[in-house]
Amino acid sequence: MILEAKNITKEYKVRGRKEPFVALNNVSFSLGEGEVLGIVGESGSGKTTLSEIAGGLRKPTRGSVLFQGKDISEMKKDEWREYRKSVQFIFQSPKESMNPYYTIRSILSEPLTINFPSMSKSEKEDRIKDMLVRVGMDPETTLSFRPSHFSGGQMQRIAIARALLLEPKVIVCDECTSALDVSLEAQIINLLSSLKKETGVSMVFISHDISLVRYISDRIMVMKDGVVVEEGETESVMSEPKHEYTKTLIETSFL
Amino acid sequence: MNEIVRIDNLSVIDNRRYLLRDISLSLQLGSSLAFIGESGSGKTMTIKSILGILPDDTEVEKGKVTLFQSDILSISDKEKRRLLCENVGFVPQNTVNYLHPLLKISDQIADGYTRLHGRRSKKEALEKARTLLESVGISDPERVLSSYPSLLSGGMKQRVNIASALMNDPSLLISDEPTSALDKVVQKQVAELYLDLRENSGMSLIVVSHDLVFVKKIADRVAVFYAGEIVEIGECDEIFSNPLHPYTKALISLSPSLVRDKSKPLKEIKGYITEEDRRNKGCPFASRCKSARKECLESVDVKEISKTHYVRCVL
Amino acid sequence: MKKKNFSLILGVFFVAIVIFLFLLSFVYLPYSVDQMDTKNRFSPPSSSHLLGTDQFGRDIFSRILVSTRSALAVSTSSVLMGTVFGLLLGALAALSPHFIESILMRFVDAMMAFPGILSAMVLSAVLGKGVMNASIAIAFFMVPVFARLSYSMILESKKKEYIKAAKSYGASTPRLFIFHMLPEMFTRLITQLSSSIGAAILTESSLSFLGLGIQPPGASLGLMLSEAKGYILIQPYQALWPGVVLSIAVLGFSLLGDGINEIIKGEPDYE
Repeated sequence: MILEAKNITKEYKVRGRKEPFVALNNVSFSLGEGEVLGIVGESGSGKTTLSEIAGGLRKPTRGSVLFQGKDISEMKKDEWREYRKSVQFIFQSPKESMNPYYTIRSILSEPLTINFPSMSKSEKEDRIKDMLVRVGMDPETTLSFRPSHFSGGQMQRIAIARALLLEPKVIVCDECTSALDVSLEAQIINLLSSLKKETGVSMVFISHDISLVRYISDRIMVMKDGVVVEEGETESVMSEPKHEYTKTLIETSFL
Repeated sequence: MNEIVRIDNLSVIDNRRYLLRDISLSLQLGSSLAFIGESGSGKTMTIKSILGILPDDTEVEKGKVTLFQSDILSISDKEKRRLLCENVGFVPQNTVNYLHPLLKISDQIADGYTRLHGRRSKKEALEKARTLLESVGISDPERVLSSYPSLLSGGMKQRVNIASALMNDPSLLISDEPTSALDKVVQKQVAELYLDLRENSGMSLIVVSHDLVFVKKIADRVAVFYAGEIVEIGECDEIFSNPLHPYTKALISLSPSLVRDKSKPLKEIKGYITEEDRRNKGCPFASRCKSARKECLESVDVKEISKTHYVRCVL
Repeated sequence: MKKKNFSLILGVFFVAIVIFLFLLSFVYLPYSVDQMDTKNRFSPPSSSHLLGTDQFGRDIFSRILVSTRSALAVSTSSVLMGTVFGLLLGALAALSPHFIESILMRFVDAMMAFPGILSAMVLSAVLGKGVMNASIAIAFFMVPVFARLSYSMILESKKKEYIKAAKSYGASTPRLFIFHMLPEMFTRLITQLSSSIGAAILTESSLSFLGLGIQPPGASLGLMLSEAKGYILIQPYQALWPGVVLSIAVLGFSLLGDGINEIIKGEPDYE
C-alpha cells in the first residue's frame, strides 16, 4: 500500500450552531502501487476534502493518513518533504491552477527550485522541456507565455507536466476534466492513461462522472454526504451496484 | 411574421480578434433551436447579441439582429428593456450566483412582473410565482418563496431561475447551459422539466448545451459553433443522422457512452482552437481537420444542402 | 461600445495639478513661508503677490506651494508606513493558527473602531506636535485599513488552486506570501493606496487645523485654513485658496483610485 487513509473524520464549526458540520465521517481507503482508485460523488459529498487530507493539504479532525506505512502526522522533516514531493495534484480549473502573474517557465521551475535547490538552471530547463514534450506541448511556443495565453485543455496539460516533474508516486486528479469540453476531456484522459502506463504512478481519480471513473479506475468508491456508500472492483460495482445511490448515479449518467 | 429572432451576417470583434464571425440564423415562433460547440466558440456571445447585452469592450463590426421585429442592437435601452421584459425569458449560465443572496426569493422573483404590470400587482405576482414554482416541480412553493437563496440547493435555485424567467409568459425562453452547473441527478430532472415545457407550453426555445442527448430530444434545429462561426446548421435529424462538417461529425462521435473499451484510448479530436484560427480568413477548423485541403485556407462559403441545412465547408 | 473612464481622466488631471504645485515649490518659490511684510497685510492678488497676502503680509501663493509639499510628504510617508505594517499584520493574521488569527483581527477591529482623527489626535498629543509625529499618527489609523485588505485577500487566495498546488509541491508559507499572494494583491493595493493618500491629506490638514500637526510659522493647508477663518469677513479668499487646493488633492487621489479600480476590474471573461 502506498497511500492509506484510516477512519478520517473532518468536522467544521458552524457559526451559531453547537453541532459541527461533518464533512467526512469515518472514511477509509487504501491505494496500492500502480493502482487507480476512482472516487465518485456529487458536489458536497466530501470527495475533495478527502483527497486534500490524503494529500496533506489539510488536517483531519480525527483519523490518520499513512504514506508507505508511515503516519504523516509523525513524520520528520525530511520524511515529510519526501511525502510532499510524492503526492501531487491536478485540479479542476485549468485557469485557476496556475498563478496568472508568472510565465510557464517560472511556474514549472518553482517545484524544482523548492525540492532540488542545487539543480542548475540548464538542468531545470532540460527537465521542463522534456516534460512538456511528454504531455504534448511544444516548449518553444510555451515557456515564455503566461497562463492566460493558453486554452483550458493546454493549461491542463501544463498542469499535468508540473505534477509529473517531481516524479511523484501518487497523483490526485480532482475533477481534472470537468471544466473541459468533451473533445478535450478525452485528450486529457488518454494522456493520463498513457503516462500511467509509462511511469507506473498510482492515481486517485475524483469525478462526478461515473462513466469516466469506470473507464480509468481499477477500483471505485462511491461517496455521499461525507460517507462511503459503496466500494469495490470497478466492474463488479458497475455491473451489480448494491446501494440505491450508486444505482441512481449509474442510471442518471445518461438521460 | 412568425420569425421572432433573425441574425444576419453578424460579426462581433473585441480589440484583438473575432468573437463572432458572419453568424446568420433565424427562429420561428413555437420552434426550438439548440447551440452546440466547445466553450469559447461563440454560443454565449450569440445569445448576448440576441439580448442586446454585448460586453462594453466589444464592437459589432457588421450585421443585424432582429428580435420580435425590432433591431435590438440600435434601439434605446428603455425600448430594449420593454421588449425583453414582454417577450423574453432568460436562464443564464452561472445559475448558482444569479439570485441576489440577501433578498428572499419572494422579493426578487417578481421583479420583472411588477416592472411590466406596475407595483400594485405584487400580490398577483406572488400568486403567479406560486403556480409557476409548482409547475417547475417545487412541491412546497411557500417555503421556497420565504427562503434566502443560500438555503436552496443548486437544483432548487435553477428551478427558481426558470420560474422567474417564465413570470411574464415570454414567447421566447433563452437558456444558456441550464444544466451544466448541476449535479448529474439534478441535471436529469431539470432536463425533464425543459422537455415538459417544450411539449406543453408552445414557447419558442433557444438552448445552449453540451449534452447532445438532451439536444437531440429538445431541439427542432441545431446550430454547431466553432471558433466564433456557425459551421453547420440544420434540422435536428439532419445534423445527427447526416452531419456534413468534419467538426460536427467528430463532435457527435465523441458523445460518451457508459460502456467504453478500457483497452482502447478514448476518441478525441486532436489539437486546439488557436488564436491564428480565429484570425485567418479560412476555415477555423482546418488546422485540426483530417480532410483539410488547400481551399480551406481561403475564405469558405456557406453551402446550402437543403432548404433547412447549411454547412460552411468546402466538402 | 467602449465606456470612457471619467474617474481616471479627472483623477489624473487633479493629481497632475497637485504634483505640478509640489514640483514648482522646489523651483520657484517667490517668498519664504515666514517672510512677513507688515505694510502689505491682506493685500489682494497682484503681480508681486499672485494670490495676495495674509494677516502678517505673508505671500499666500508661496505658502500654498510649501503646504502642498508638506501635505504630500506627510500623506505618502504615513500611507507607506501604514501599508507596510498593515500588510504584515494582515498577512500574519491570515496565515497563523486560528487563535492567533482571532486575537490579531480583534485588535485590528478595535483599532478600526476608533475614529481615525480621534486616535490621530491622541497620538499626536502623546508624541508631541510636529510633522514626523503627525505622519506616525496618520499611519496608525491607516494600519487597520490595510490589515483588513491584506487579511481578506489572503483568505481569498488561500482557496485558489494555484496556492494549493504550490503547497503540494512544498512551498513554504513565507514563499507563498511573497511569490504568490503579494503580486495578486498588488493591483488592489494600488487602488487603495491612491484613495488612502487622499484621506491622509485630509487628516493631515485636519490635524494642522486643530493645531496638532505642522506648527506656525510653518505652512500647511489646514493651518492656513485655520488662520484664515478668523479673517473670513475681511479677506474671504485667504481661505479660498487652501480650500481649493485641498479639495483638488483629496478629490484627485480618490478619483484616481476609482479610475485604477475601473481598469483592473476590466477584462471580462467570455463564456
